[in-house]
Amino acid sequence: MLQRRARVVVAILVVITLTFAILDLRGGKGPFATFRSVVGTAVGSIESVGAAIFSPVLAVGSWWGTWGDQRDQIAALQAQNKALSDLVRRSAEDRARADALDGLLKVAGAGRYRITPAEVIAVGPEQEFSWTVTIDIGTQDGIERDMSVINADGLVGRVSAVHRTTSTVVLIVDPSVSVGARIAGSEEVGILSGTGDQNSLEFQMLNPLAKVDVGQAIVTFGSKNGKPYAPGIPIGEVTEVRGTAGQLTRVAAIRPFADLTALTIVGVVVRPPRTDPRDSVLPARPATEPSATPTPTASPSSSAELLEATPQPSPRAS
Amino acid sequence: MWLRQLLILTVTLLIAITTQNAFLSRLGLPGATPDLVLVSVIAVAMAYGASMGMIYGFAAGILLDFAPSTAGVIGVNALLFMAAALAAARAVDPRDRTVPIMIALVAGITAGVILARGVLDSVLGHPTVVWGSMAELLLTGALYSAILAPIVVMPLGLVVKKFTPEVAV
Repeated sequence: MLQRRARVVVAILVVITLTFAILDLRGGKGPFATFRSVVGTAVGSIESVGAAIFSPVLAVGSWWGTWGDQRDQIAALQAQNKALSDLVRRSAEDRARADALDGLLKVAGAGRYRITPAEVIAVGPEQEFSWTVTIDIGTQDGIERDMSVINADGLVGRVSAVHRTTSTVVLIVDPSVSVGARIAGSEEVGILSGTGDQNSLEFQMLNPLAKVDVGQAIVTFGSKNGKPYAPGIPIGEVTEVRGTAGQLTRVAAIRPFADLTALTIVGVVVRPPRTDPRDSVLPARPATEPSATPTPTASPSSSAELLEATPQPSPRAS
Repeated sequence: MWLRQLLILTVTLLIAITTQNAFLSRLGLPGATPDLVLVSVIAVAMAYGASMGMIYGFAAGILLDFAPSTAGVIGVNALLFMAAALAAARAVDPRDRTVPIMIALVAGITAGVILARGVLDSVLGHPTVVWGSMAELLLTGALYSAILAPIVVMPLGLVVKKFTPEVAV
């Protein structure tokens, strides 16, 4: 065991300890109050130095502790921000969609077409030289081949293929498409064909002596049972007349009303009107626009070209 | 010789108390606070033997009892640390004391001290002992001491052997 001297030392220490404990347990301030405050001051000052030394380390600890919280908070705020900006963007989109649907409804109401609205979900690749789009309705929505497709501005195309939930629409600008059309306000008919150019169609009049004027509107002539084209749908307006009256073929360039490069909401005419709506679907034209006035006196150059049949070569004759 | 030993022990004690009260207790670790002072008592007892370990334990315990932020009965820590020093020096022969055994010894003594402190405090009429959390305190206290053991015991043993080889065990 311990050496004699060590044993004595330990015994003394134990006695001191027990004395301290008993004196402390007697309660009150006791004899240790002063001693305690002296030791407390000394140790306290050492501890405050230690605290100053360790505080950066502890700060790192608390930084680690709060780091996760902050990351969570950042993630939550980012998610919220994304949701809100989505909402803002979508509300603008929704307004545009509502406007498009409104216009479509107006057209359908004016022409008494029964339409099924659809959204363009895909556009055919341009390098395939076929101007087609895919819409999000198909056989299960009652869509059949050769139905007319319109939007709020006018004719878009016809359904060329139907699947269960989607359909393919071939646009009127496709070079393979021909549409029977009529000049609004007259009985002159012709054949409209696509050129592959998004902003231009070719209107070939059957009557070479027909009176046609820049700014006049073209509507569909209508087919049997409204297929492939329902009657009375606005197509576009004449921007240029090539050739002169009396020539074997007279061709007018037509700018389509519908913006075929930016299609979103379209309507498929699932049932054509019982009677031809004639020109009632055409938008009201502002009278201030001189080129839009169909009266022959309004535009002397074009009326001269039309009526006098001067054998002037067309500047863009090809 | 004596001066050197005194210096080593004083520095060890100051570092241990400061680090424990100003750093380890503020880390907010789950369960018990790592008892660095107790580990240093065990380390001194292993390095210098039982009697020097008990003297060091007495000093450390008295200082802890008087120091701020401890509110136990004065003398309890001193008594417990003396017992811990005796156990650390005598439980296993220094020649058989491999590192795993040393770590296990530190952890076991820590658990015993925590348990004995709870018993003593409640016997002496201290109502703050929460027996419900005793198991958790024992487990975490022993774990923290086991982690601290190699960090404290082995460097201190090297320092003691280098500077005071005459009295080293």
